[in-house]
Amino acid sequence: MKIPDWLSQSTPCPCCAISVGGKKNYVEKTLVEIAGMMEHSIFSEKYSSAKGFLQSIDPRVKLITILLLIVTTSFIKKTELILGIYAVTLFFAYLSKVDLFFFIKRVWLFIPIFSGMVVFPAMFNIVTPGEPLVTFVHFDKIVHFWVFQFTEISITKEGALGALLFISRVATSVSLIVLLTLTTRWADVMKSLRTLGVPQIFVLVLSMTYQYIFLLVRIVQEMHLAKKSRTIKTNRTREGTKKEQNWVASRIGTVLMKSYKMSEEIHSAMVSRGFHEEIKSHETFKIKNIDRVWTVFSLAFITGVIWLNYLV
Amino acid sequence: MPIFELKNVNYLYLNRIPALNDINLSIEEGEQVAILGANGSGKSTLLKLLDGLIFPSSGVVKAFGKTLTENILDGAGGDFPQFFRKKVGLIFQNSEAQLFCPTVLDEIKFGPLQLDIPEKDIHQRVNDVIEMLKIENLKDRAPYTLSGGEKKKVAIASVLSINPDILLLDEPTNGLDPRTQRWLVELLLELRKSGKTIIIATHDLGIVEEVSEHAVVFSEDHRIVANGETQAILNDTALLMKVNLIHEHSHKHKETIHKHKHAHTLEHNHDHVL
Repeated sequence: MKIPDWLSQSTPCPCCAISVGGKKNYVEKTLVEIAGMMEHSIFSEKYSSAKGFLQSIDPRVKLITILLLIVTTSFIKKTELILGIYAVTLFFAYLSKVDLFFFIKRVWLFIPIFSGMVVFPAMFNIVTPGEPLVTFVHFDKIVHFWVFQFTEISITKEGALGALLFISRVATSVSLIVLLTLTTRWADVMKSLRTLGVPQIFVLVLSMTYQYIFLLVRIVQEMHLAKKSRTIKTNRTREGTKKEQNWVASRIGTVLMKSYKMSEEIHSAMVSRGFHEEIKSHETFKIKNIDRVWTVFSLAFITGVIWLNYLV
Repeated sequence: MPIFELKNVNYLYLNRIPALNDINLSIEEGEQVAILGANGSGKSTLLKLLDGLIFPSSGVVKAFGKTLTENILDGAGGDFPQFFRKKVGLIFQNSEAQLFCPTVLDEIKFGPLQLDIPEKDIHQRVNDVIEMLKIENLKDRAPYTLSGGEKKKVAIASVLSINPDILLLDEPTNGLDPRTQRWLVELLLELRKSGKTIIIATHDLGIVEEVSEHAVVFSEDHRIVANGETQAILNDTALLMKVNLIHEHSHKHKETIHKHKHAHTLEHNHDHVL
């Protein structure tokens, strides 16, 4: 084999004159962040394999009791009771050897973004009229805006209390779910869904989707790295960013085709091992005394909270 | 009676790209057969046909005396599908596609559970396979967190737990480090001693001699060009060159240009041309 002359010429290396620096581009950042987030938050079994209190509870019992607590939280109208449930959640997170700072951070990082945005307008007199707490602007005449009429813009007491109730309800519910997923292996959460009557095919598809997301993220990451190794940065200009976006869009198609091909392979692998229309499985969970104690405690706690909310 | 019999089999991908061309083949019980061929010669397609996952575009594939069709394997009623899946196990080239359960333990249990093997026996089999392959430390892990070699071991375990009499392996040594490759060869030798029929599709000539007594060679136009004793086929360098399994290799030893046919098994057995 004879290689062409140009292939044997090396690039001169004026090392001192080469400029360096710059930030990572956004595609790379996003991919690395997604992969990192999934690996650390979803696939990490750091807390679920710890020897804490909730880890010792049967996943089915844990799932049902935590779901009952979430339903209760949604019906409670007294903010102080919801904050009480939140405090109990924190206490059980501590007993389950979950790092409290990490736990609180994970929940509160998303609350302002999602619920905060929803609840923000409701704090003002325009949406929730009432006793003003803080007044920002006062108008001399009635202002008509769309369907609203107002003479001032202020945060009302009713609005602020409503927002607090909503935020505390969301934070407590999210904390309970996060506590469940942190202290239970994902595979066990999936199996436990069967006890709630979720159809098996649904559980199977959900759990498989979950696993293969990881694989697809890795494929996308590798595709991006393969491109990166053969190109130089182009995203410093608007045109460069556009090119990068076009590239990402076209790769989505490629990933779709790859995932379709893989789904065929997976189906073949399942058929080869005896899959025919319905998946057969058997439960390996066993109810222990600690599960009974936890169930009694949870039900008593839920009854107590409802009693305090409606009867006191 | 042969366990597999293929008569004038053709297979077209997407109804137009040929993958197998007029294949006639018969495999007896207890045989160890190597399916040799370059990339894209049709080895994987042949294994999928033998496992009843795809069906020929024309021709007949018979297993245990019955013609494999979609109806006989997927249709309701009859014991043949379960009998066939218990008898034949396929280890895929891509372990990632084969490992779809949440944990390694679930993965190994999957096959026996689908095939209605009693729960007590499943427990025994799973434990024995885990112990035999020394993967106790992996059993609670999720398959996607394993290394390439570990995935291959779990894929093998998940098929062995069914205890198939016929094992089909698609490029089993691909991407494995030398120690895991060696481990695999030793495992295959043990399985051979227990009387299993082993059919390996590979282009890794390094393992063929040890794990098979019979070899079938595919050409790059998807036809069978040789079918005979493994040793005789490995010695036929002209044939192996023609089907792109070995290549002519020249390099310099001091001042002498040294030229020989190159394949792992043959590199120490060659003539100096110059």
